[in-house]
Amino acid sequence: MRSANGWSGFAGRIVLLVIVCAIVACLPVHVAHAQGNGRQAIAIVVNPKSAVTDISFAELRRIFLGEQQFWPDRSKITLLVRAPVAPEREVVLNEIYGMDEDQFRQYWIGKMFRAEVAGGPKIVYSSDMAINLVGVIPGSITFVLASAVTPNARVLRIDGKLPSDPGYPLK
Amino acid sequence: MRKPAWLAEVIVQSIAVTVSILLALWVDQWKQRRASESLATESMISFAKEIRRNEARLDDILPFHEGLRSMLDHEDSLHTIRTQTQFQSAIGVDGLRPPSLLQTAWQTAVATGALTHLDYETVSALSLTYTLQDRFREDSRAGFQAMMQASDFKPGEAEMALHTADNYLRETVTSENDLRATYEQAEAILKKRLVAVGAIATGDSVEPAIGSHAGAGQ
Repeated sequence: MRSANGWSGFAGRIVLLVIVCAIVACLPVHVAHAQGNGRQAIAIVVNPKSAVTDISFAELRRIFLGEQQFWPDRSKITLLVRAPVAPEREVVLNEIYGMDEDQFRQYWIGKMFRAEVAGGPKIVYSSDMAINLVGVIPGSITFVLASAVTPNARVLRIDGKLPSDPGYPLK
Repeated sequence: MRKPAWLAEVIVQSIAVTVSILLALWVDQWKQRRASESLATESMISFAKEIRRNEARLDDILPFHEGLRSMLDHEDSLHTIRTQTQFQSAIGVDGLRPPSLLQTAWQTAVATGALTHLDYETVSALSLTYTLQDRFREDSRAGFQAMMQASDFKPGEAEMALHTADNYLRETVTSENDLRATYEQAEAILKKRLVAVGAIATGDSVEPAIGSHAGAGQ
């Protein structure tokens, strides 16, 4: 009888251990997921006079990579990018470029060296500067935290989705 | 009186030798002229490509500088910039740098003596273009340094910094537009010469503009 009680106690401890291990193993995933959901969406903003309202993620990627340098109406695209350390720049580098800072720098140097582009992205130092400049430079495009978007800014839909929509790719 | 046979032979051989020498000299001269023409054409193509690239660099930076200036005017009218941090955050400094313009074609032409094979009008146009480009670089550098010094201002001196930045941007944008117009002139002269020597057809350009419209909307 005592032996049977000992066995069931042992089995109970094993089951408890397995449950604890499973919880511990899942914890980082839950934390990461929660952080991901907590991260702010990045809005893509264009000059208000632009005729473009919706683009595909693939087209957005081509624009940011400097592979497409003109809008469909043949106006020149001016790419405005936040200076390093800005959180939105980090998201764009990860999600759109798939590069780190060094690779990003090397990428643009290479493109200029091969004369594939006339110049790299233009650097802006704050969301205000990005929003203000995109408002006055025809054909310009930039990215800011969705919370920094002002009422007069033109936010692009990506694959038909706005930053507030579920499934928006830049979160 | 009959001429000796050897004399006729000497005359014939002398004529043959003279003609051969003259022919060899003519062929040599023809080859040299071809080489000079080829060097001149190559050099003009190189100039045209470089000027096109510099023009593209100006086209790339001009809207940004014009936008910065317009934004600066707006900020100035609102009197929102009071501190260095606000100045940096609203305008930045790196974006105010002038574009780096190439002059390798000119340096190569001077080093190889290719300029001596070009006609006077072309050399004169190229010389003027690169002189103006040099002046633009020197003026921009001096203006940028002055602006950098002004941007290191104490509280209460923001107006002066904004005024200096505004002056710098106004002069830079004007110089960039002037230089762009000079490039267009030089490009037209080079194109005319290249068409004349048969290097390109009348409607062709030496190379397509960087990131040409071909990629639009793709």
